Amino acid sequence: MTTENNLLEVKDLKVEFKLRQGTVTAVNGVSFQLKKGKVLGVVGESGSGKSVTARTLLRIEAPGIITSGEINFFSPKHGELAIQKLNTTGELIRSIRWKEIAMIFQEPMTSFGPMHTFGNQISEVLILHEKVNKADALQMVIESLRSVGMPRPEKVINQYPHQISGGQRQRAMIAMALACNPEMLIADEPTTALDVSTEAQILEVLAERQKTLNTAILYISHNLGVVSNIADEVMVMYLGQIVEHAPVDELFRAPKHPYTVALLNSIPRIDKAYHGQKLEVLSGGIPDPYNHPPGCKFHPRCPKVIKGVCDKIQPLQHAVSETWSVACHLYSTSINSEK
Amino acid sequence: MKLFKYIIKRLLWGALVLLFVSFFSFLVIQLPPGDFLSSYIARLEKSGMAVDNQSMVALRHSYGLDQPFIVQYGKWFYRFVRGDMGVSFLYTKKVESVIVERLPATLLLSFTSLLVIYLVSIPVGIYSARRQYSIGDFLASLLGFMGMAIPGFLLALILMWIAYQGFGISIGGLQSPQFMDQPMSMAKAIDFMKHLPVPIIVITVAGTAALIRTMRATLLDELGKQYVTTARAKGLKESTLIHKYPVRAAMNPIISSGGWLLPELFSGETIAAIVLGLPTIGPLLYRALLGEDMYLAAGCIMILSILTIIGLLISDIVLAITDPRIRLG
Amino acid sequence: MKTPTFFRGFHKPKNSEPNKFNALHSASQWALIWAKFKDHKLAIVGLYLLVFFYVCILFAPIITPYDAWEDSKYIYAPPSKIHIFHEGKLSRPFVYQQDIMLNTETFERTFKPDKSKPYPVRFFVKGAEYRWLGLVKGNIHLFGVDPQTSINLMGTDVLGRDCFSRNISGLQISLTVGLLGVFIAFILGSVIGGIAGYYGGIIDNIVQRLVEFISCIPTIPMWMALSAVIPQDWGNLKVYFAITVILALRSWTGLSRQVRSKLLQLREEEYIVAAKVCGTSGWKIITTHLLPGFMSYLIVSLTLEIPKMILGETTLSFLGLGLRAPTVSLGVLLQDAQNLAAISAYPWLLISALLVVVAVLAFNFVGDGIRDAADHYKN
Repeated sequence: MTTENNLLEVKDLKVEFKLRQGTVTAVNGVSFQLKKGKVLGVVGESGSGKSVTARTLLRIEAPGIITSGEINFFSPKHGELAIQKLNTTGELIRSIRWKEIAMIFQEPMTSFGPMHTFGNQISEVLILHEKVNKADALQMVIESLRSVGMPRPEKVINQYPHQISGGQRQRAMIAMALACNPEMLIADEPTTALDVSTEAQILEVLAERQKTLNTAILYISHNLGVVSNIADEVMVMYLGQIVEHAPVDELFRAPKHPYTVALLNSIPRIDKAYHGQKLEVLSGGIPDPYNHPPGCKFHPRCPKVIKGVCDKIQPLQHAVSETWSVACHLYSTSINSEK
Repeated sequence: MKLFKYIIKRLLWGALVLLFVSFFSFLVIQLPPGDFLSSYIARLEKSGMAVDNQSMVALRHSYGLDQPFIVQYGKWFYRFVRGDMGVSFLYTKKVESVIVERLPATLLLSFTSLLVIYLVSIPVGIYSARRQYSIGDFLASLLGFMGMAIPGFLLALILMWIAYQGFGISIGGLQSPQFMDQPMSMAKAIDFMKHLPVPIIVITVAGTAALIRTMRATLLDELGKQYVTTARAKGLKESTLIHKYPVRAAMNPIISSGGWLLPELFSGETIAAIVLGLPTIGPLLYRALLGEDMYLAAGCIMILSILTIIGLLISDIVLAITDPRIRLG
Repeated sequence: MKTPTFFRGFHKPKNSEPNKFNALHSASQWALIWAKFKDHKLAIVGLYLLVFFYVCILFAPIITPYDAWEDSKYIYAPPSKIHIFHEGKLSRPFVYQQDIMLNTETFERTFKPDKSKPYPVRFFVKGAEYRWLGLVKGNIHLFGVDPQTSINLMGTDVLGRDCFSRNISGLQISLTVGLLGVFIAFILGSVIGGIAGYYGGIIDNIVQRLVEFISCIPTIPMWMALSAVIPQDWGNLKVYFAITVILALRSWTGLSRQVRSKLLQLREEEYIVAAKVCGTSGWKIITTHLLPGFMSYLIVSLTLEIPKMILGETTLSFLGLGLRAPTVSLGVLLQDAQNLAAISAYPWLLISALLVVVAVLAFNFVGDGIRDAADHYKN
């Protein structure tokens, strides 16, 4: 993979949570790159470490602790930055937050403070990062709200979160995230809490703004279908590790990792005739977070498990093609034999 | 407009509570066996005074004691609303004048105590929540537990003892006897200030402990909410964002529980005042109850409850003004 | 959080290998709460203290060496010192006879130990007769000394009565007032709150207002007023029950509020709706779904309500408005410590206060522990 045009490089990132019951390794050796203006989807079950990964990029991972790895961000203003080394409350990371990397959260209900107007909360980022005065900031907020299709933005700036619907709140969130025109946007399941038709509208707005502003997006979802609409590449995470990373079309056409296959098969499809057969579901649940299984972490649930290999040796990332990698023993032998 | 409607609604509510409380107070007058007039007469006779039958009948009639309960209550309430609370037998004065004498000290002590409770518990609560499980947090919890476990009268006794043993001041009342009938002066003010800390501590300890716990728990709850992460992700300074968002949201339960602190405050004050001999309404009630001076007792309960209701209404209105979710529906 | 249907299969805990995680998931609610509770050190200390206290009051007449109402010549004797060295030699625990010296000018009493003869502390001695639990006659006491002298672990009072025996008897009343009061409050609170929460509408509205009205009257003045109207000629037992009811009259409001709000909240929960849709009967919904849902909350508020009642009883009795002598409660005992002169001359009278504080703290710790445990379970 080429490194030019990279906006973000994550190398072997590990994040742990030290709890009383034991240590949870939420992110366990994750590496990926995000190119300028591209959309990278991250898919996985709850507990797969995708949200923690995202938060770590902004250094709001507490109480998690980065135990190893690198996060290199190519800031237009500050040059190459080793994010993992920054003080989480320091000035430098605070100037990166929102100005260069903004974030959209899952719960539109609670991601705005209940006691302040939208005008106040959105203009806050402009006053902070763009050093504009309050009146100008409010004008910019109105423009920004209009650009995401918010009806009557002049009125909305004086409204409180409880006064508008979830979909509208998420529009406001997008407007706030893009207000400072950041290089990169992290969207952490932005449509999960919305109903299907609102979800489609929000995705459309997001995709449109992404194209106009050429913002790079790290799009997190547990829904492969949603990700396929917006992403250029997808990485699938399982228990804090990336099991497959591929361009979105190729992944859908021929998924390699048994986990990806299972994820795809569990999506009900209209074009498939079901004739009395049931939707395939993955057996078993996510293992104990304090005690991950040895070897490949997916092996207890894997239909293609190789006894004596998968339960003993942890699979490495194998390149299927230049843009496609998978962490599974099934592919290590085939690649070795090709060589 | 919505705010206006809300306030009207709360005022009506207050009037209703008042009605209920007055009924309760009247019940207290009525509960002892025999009517109060008989006990009054018995008392007069015991002290060797002759009571002529005619004036007794006249008295009986004027208090409506020959009428059914509800009529008596109606008459009493009607008179109460017009400021006539009956006669105190203990003080041989009108109840309202006995109470009014003690109102300033009561209000002063309650208001100062409320202020102290807020000034202590909010910062300590914020500190405890932000530094959960730190030594400071542990100490605050420990003090809180002690504050809830030591009965007020005991604390009053202990502090009195310490003040007496350690500083040689006898803490009784709100001023030293030599200043009792003197006009206001610097020396009198200083003497008064010296007397204030012990009652204030006794009155505020339980309320402060409770409010610290509420503040800590609410703020911890708010700190875990998504909007705090949003604010952090925006690049705001930690102290700025915490004071702007979660502390602001945590203030609401504090404001609304402020009103409910009042009954507890008056409870604590009653105890402290009895033990420390303060010139407030609490000891008046105590004396009235022990001496079966029922009009005085009812008057005291009514006044304490009215003060509580006014406090509640104020906290409701403040809450409505500060919280957009109530103000705008 | 909504989980799309196609994703649900992942969450089924059907793992064939039962591990720690799944064991935790299948444990009952109470086992989980207990597991959490054990981590709360103060709560465990509180629990031990409470068990100790209640065992003590259960066997009160046996543990105490004297009758709590029996006068003696030892007036205001300080707590007896238990010695183990007699004339420089180690011996079994014993006390010395206290000679009473009366200063004829000040009428102050001083006690001087007569060190010539040790009186060993004996166990399971015969003493004052009692009826254990009002049923079993007995006269064996856990410990005691030769009747010639006396052992007063916590000193004696104005009539020479043994404060240790009186304190244990006082604990018996004070700690049961809390339990009985909470029981009454629990019945009142859950029935009234339950009705309000279950029926809603006008009934709910009326109950809500009633609760608010009662809460508007300051607690202590309300208790004072109510206990002041208890007729003077009532017997001990009647006054005891009356005081308990008065204390409960205030406490039920908080409980009913909790029961109501929890019921209203649970009514809307999806699993309750699901149970209703499935045709589960109302009774079964209440017992198998609703009750476990808020039992832990109820227990927390009950545990935290007991110390308030103990404090209430103590305060009322201290003020002379609660229980009356000859009933012995910690508050009644504290009446003797009402002024500074008494406290500085006979500080051991404050031991009763210490017992109140320790008992109340213990209840608060336990309540706090259960709350934390229940909260954690909720998450």
